[in-house]
Amino acid sequence: MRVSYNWLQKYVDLKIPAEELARRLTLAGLEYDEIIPVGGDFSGVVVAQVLAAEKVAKSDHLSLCRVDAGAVEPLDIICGAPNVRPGLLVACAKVGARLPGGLEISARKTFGVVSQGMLCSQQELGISDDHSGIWELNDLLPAGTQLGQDVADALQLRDEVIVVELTPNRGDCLGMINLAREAAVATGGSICYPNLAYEENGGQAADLISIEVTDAKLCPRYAARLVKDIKIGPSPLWMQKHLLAAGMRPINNVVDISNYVMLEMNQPLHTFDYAKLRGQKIIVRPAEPGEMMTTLDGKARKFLGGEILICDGEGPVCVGGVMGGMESEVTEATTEVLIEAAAFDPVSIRRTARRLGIPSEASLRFEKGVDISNCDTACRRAVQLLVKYCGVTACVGAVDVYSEPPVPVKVNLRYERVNQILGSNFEPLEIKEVISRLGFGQETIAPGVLQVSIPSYRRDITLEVDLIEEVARIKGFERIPKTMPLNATVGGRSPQQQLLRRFKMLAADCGLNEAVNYSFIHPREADLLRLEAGHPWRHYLAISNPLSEDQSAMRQSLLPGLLHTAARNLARRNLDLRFFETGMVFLPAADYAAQVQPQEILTAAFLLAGRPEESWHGQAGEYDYFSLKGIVERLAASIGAGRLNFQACRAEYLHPGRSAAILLDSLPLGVIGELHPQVAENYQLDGRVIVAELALEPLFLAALGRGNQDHDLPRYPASTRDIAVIGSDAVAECHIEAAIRKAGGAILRSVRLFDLYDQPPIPAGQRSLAYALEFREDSRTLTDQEVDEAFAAIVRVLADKYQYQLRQTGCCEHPAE
Amino acid sequence: MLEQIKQIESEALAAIAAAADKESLTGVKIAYLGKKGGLTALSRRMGQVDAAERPAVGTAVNAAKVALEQAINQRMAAFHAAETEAALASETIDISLPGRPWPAGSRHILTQVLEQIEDVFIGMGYTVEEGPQVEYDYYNFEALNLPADHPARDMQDSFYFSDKMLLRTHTSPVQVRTMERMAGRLPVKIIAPGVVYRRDDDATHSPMFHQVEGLVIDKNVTFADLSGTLLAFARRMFGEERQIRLRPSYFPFTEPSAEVDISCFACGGRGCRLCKGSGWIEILGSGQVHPRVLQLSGYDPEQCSGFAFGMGVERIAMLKYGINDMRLLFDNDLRFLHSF
Repeated sequence: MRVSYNWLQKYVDLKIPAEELARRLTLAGLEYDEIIPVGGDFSGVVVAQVLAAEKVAKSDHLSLCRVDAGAVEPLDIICGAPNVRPGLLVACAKVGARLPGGLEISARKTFGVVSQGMLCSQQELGISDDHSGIWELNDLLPAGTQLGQDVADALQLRDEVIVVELTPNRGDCLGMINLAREAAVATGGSICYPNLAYEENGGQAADLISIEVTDAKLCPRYAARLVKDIKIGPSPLWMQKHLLAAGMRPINNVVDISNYVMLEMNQPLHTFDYAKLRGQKIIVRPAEPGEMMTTLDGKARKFLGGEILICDGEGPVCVGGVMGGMESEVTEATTEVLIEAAAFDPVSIRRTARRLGIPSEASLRFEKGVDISNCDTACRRAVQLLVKYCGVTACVGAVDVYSEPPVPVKVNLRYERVNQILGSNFEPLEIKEVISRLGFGQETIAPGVLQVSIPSYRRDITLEVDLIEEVARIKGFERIPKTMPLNATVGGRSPQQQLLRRFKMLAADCGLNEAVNYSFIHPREADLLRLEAGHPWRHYLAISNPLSEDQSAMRQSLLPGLLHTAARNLARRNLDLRFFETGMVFLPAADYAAQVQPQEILTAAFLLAGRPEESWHGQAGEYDYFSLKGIVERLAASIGAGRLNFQACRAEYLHPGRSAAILLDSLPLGVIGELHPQVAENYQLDGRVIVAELALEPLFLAALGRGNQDHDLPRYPASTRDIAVIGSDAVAECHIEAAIRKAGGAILRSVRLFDLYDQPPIPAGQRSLAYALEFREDSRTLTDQEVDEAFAAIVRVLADKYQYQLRQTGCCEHPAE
Repeated sequence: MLEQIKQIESEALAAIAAAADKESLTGVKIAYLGKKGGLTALSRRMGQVDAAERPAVGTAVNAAKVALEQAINQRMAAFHAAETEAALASETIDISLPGRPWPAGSRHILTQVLEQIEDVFIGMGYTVEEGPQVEYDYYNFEALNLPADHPARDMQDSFYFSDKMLLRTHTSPVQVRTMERMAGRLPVKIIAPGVVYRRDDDATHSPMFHQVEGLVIDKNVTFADLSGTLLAFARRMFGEERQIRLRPSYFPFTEPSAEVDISCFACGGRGCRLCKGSGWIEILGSGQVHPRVLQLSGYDPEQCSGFAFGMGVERIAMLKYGINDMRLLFDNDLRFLHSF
């Protein structure tokens, strides 16, 4: 809301500058955004009088003028305006003057004469778009204006606009009078309302127009008044200034007055050319489905049915509260005008304005709800202005369909409750004083209870707390003490929240950088990941009104986000890529119709790519599958979830020979692997990219379910043995290790692969695996025999189950070692 | 005889002193103290000495032996120390070379700020509650006193899946869900951090961002308690010298409602570019829980009262760490991620 300081001054003697007013309004809940100086954006332009004007011989339109600009000597000025004539009071830009837009006036020689300035049109001074001639000031200047006086000062063109950000509950302050009430409360001033008196000399309005409203819910009030003998012309300068300050363009007297009253009283008006209303009647009714009309922007509008239509005897002439019709529009030729001031159903207006895509100052006000008791007052204000400034004849009375005037709202306010809610110590007298400053009626109906009558323009106040807020904001929030709640509670994070926090810290400690990506992605990501037609990720939760297509699908994987993150970083020459991200992925319910919440799965994803930075210590190797597997294993172990299992698996987006499912016991958590080169290319990633993704909740639950462990140091020594076996490289290493563990029994406490060798002299297709084994018993020292037996059992199982044979020491040592 | 002992001793001492290295010193040792050494030979001739003189000669020989052994050991130790020193000297490194790189990771600044905010409130006894991001209209709007067609829904332009389901526009639905779960029990004292979504995208708005909301319901929880709580928060987060200012505002789910400003930490409140000259910076919205919201979730507004507040984590992070463009927070450039 653009609030003109000069305009506001008409209702309240403000006494304080705009900046202080803005500050006080802010502290009363009407927050200001900025203060903009408007009008008179020029200098060196003075009031002057044309003494003489003669046509310049060689020109068809230029005149040489002698102009008295208050100096001793008159000025010679060349002027091209058709309306320049002796006696005219004009705005004269003297040499050195600066006009809006930065144009500087200099002495110029034209047709042999030096022009010592310029006579200005309204457009040249930024007053309006009127450039038909120079601006005639004779009727505008206040008495006592001197020639040579600054035009902006003489005409009070300069103003300040306070841009107020209104909260949705204070739609009433879209009217200057209501805003002035707030200003009066904030400055301690009193408010001066406009005088609505005028003479009614036309016929009875009721004889000239009949009004019917078919649905009082859609239109609880429809008031109209008629005026005759209109001459369409410009509106008075002061009104144009106010409209411009408020951000509206002056058009003509009828339109301007209608807009002015809307801005003043927060009641949109509509004006019809009475002569064009067929049948001398107005019918307000809901639209029929498929019904059509042409709005005044020239567009044919088709209705769904139920929109509020204002019709004459033959058909629709206006979309009620939203936009007028072409046919009944007021034009230059109009002489009789019907002025409408109505209250419409806010929800209906909101829907119609939205669907037709034509929000306006009027529909905005109807959406927020106008003051129904104020309709005819606004109508009278418009007629009064038309009578005063356009010399129209007002018809007698109004036609006012007002079926059910609302019951005045009364709200009880308990003094004790005020302090109970606010934690304040306001005395009853102070509270009563606030209520009366607000101009609300009040009556004590019981000890400690005030019954407050809420004026119809404050539709936002319906409950006791609303009044308590009024007390708080008018007294000032700074008057309320600052205390702490007295309840003692034990706060904290849940065990799972603690684990997530720990997980992120551990991931960062592993050298990974946390990324945060949007939860919505492009549906095309499924193609980039090479997902097959029936892949579950292709079945996603779609946003029906996304900002763009690349933010339209709820992600089912964190990988697309991380892959884009990696690509973006590579493109910017960040080459050592180590990322992780945690967040929700969204799996739509099976019977998906966007009616049931999806499953939200807390997920972690990882990415390694590019290369570690070179250092003088020597080049670290490229990241590979095992780099990331090590990190994932360490994270699982560090949060206490235990050992993960990895099983070769196929995923369309991963390298078929370098990818694995991650399992916790037998529960699949996710996948890890090298990105398929085609997918890497799709994301513009070079080289090997290692990714992993896994669900966190099962991991956390496992960690939380593991309970306490024995933390004593072993009392009896362990026996260690190394075992080297040779066999087919088609057997996954994890099977060999599992077999060793199983065969070793309870006394085998640790198995660690310390060597893998598959070069000659090892035969092709075979490999040698060497493990360090540790045997121990808690209650005693193991005998050599026990360990030997366990060792023999391991050798036997490996031979029987996997044809892995014990390697004879010395017979085939690694040549390199 | 004694004369001879003296002479051999002094000869030997001179030889020890003259020995250039371990080897020649060993030679000296053998020459005097070895089986055929000079001193050993003397002691073999003991039998030829007068019985009366024998004790004296014996003592002298022993004394000479001890003296020589001591001298040799000392000299040997010196050689050893010199050798060690030379060996260490040959191992000298350039200690100014950079250390072996250990890959540095990082937690996102939003994670860090979120945790800071959480910790302040956990310290005041709040528990941390979470809820779904894809929400029903009821929890996101209706239960918060925002019925369909309420004009205030415009304040939060939403992403919809259907007329019934949307991406939550704030974490307030968690408040509703918590109240439902608590079923009228007191006190309720929670914060709800999380991801939220609004249809906005520019340098100061992101379609996805993070919020932390708080809710306290108990007997006699006042607006003054809200002020005090937020003052404590502002000071923990932005420095103990901060002041706060509450301004009347409007949210459908609170009444009275307040926007909360903190005194500018860049200029101390005198007015600067950061606070646009006002000395105050808006950081959050808050208010006393609207009685209708309490009723809708099964609490009697005559029996209890409460306050709620909500803040944008991105905004707090940007203010506290001088980040000028919100989009950087979701861009994940490593140079940015590493700078915190």
